[in-house]
This record gives sequence, structure tokens and C-alpha cells, in this order.
Amino acid sequence: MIVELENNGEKMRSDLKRRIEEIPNINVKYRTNINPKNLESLIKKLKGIGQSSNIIVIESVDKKIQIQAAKDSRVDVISFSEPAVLKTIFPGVISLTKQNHSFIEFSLAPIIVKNKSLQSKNLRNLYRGVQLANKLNANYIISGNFDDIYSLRHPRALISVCHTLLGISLLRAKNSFSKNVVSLLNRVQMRQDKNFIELGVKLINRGEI
Amino acid sequence: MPLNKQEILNSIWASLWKYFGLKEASRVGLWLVDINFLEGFGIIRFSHQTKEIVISALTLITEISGNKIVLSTIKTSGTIHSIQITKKLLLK
Repeated sequence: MIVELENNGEKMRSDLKRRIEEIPNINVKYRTNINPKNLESLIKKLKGIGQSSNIIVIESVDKKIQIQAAKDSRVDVISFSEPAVLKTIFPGVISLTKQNHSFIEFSLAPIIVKNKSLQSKNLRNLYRGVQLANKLNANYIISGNFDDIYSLRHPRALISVCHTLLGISLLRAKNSFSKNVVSLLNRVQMRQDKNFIELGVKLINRGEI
Repeated sequence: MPLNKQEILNSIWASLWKYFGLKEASRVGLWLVDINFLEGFGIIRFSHQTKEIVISALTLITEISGNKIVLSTIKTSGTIHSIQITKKLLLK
């Protein structure tokens, strides 16, 4: 389970965090969302969380910030969840995430809104973004990101929505909900390992297999 | 406010029309076989070729007659007989 905390958990009490982690049979991971206003702010915010065990997610409408974030190995996900951010997706950032083995995030929340014109507009933008990511063979994950509990759906149902409305193949849609998320968690784990140099390169001690 | 069978069926058709249009909706062959409001389940029959479309249409329904609702698929099967067996197992 990936938990996204409001204000990056600044107000989260340590006893509450401990209680969440004590729930049996649930592997809890946290994600830190960063919405930098400019490049300096991004660099400053990333400085403090280099070795963080949280999933680091950057969301910005500024293309320069997106490029810088995609280049940075500490960043795990470049999020395009919000409709305004989704409109700014471009091939350069997708290519950089591929090089850095990080991920692009899309969200299905914008297409489950009541306003019909907004819904069709969001669907059009999401379709465009997803097709671009597919064309460039990008690593992407799809999240629900729903605000309302009545909008929550089973991942299998969301896979069907991705397949039918966004034109993603069933296998690829399944991967974006399961396999890619596991790869993302492995990436976070490897980032914390000091012996890990880059994907496929790790320093090992003598005698260690 | 309690819902009825016709409202459920109408909302599924409306969702099919809204998201997939006449061409796809005409291929579905939708049939509401069984619905139980007390236990909160139902069985619908449709063409196997439109399985993903129907699951999507059910997923995208958010309210019926002003009531917030979530329609979630539990199991799909090739025959009504085997889905009845699954239903019995689930309700045990």
C-alpha cells in the first residue's frame, strides 16, 4: 500500500505512523509529493531527501522543472495526474525518464468528474498523454488518485477502462497497475543502497553472491 | 431511496451509450439475469466480445437516481450455470 500524506506528512505524528506500520499483512510505503515553484526550489527540496525511503514524486507545469526532475536520479516519478500538468507532457521528459529508469504517472481521477465538457476535455488530454507514452515505450504507472471514496474502483475494472477508453493493450494496462509499481518500489529500495551504482551495476563484497 | 431493476438497467445502458456510442452498444446484447438488492449483487449477461466494454461502463457509473453507487465486477464466466455456482459459494 502506498500512502500519500498531506503536506508530505509534516504534521503526521510518529505514533500514528508506527500504528499504520503495525497493521498485519500490509506493506506500507510512503510517497513524498513535491510541487516546486522554480528550479532553485526543486534543487533545495531534493537536497534534504536524497536517501529518503519514500517514493519521491515531482509534479510541475514548468517544462524546465520536469526536465531537471527527470534527469535527477533521486526522483522516482514525474507525475502528470492533474489536468493542467497533463497538458504539458512532451517527448523530451518521457525520454529522460526512460534513460533514468524512473516513471511517469497518470491518473484516472480527471475522467471521473460530473461536468461532461470537463470530462471529455480531460479524457482527450489523458488519451494524448498515454498514447505519447506508449509510442515512446515509456515506463508509466496509472493511479486512481480519487478524492471521493465512492470513486474508488478495483484495479481490474480500471484496467478495463484503460484498455477501452485510452487504447492501452490489456497486458500493458495490467503492467502499469502491478509490474511497473513493483519495479518502482525496487528502484526506491535500490536508491537507498549505497553499493548500488546504476541499474545492473552493484558493488559486492568479497564472497557475497 | 431503494433502487429498482429498471433503474439499474437504464443506467448501464446510459453509461454504454455515453462512453462507447451506438455502434458498440449494439454489440453488447445486455440482459439483467438476476439482481438482489439485499445481498448487493447481480448477474448480467452480455456478448463475450464486449466484456471489457461492459466492465468499463459499469466502472464509470457513479450514481443512479441521485444515489451514489459503485458497481464492481466480482467474476466473469462463460456460462450462467457456472456463475450461479460461484454466487452460491460467495453467499455461503
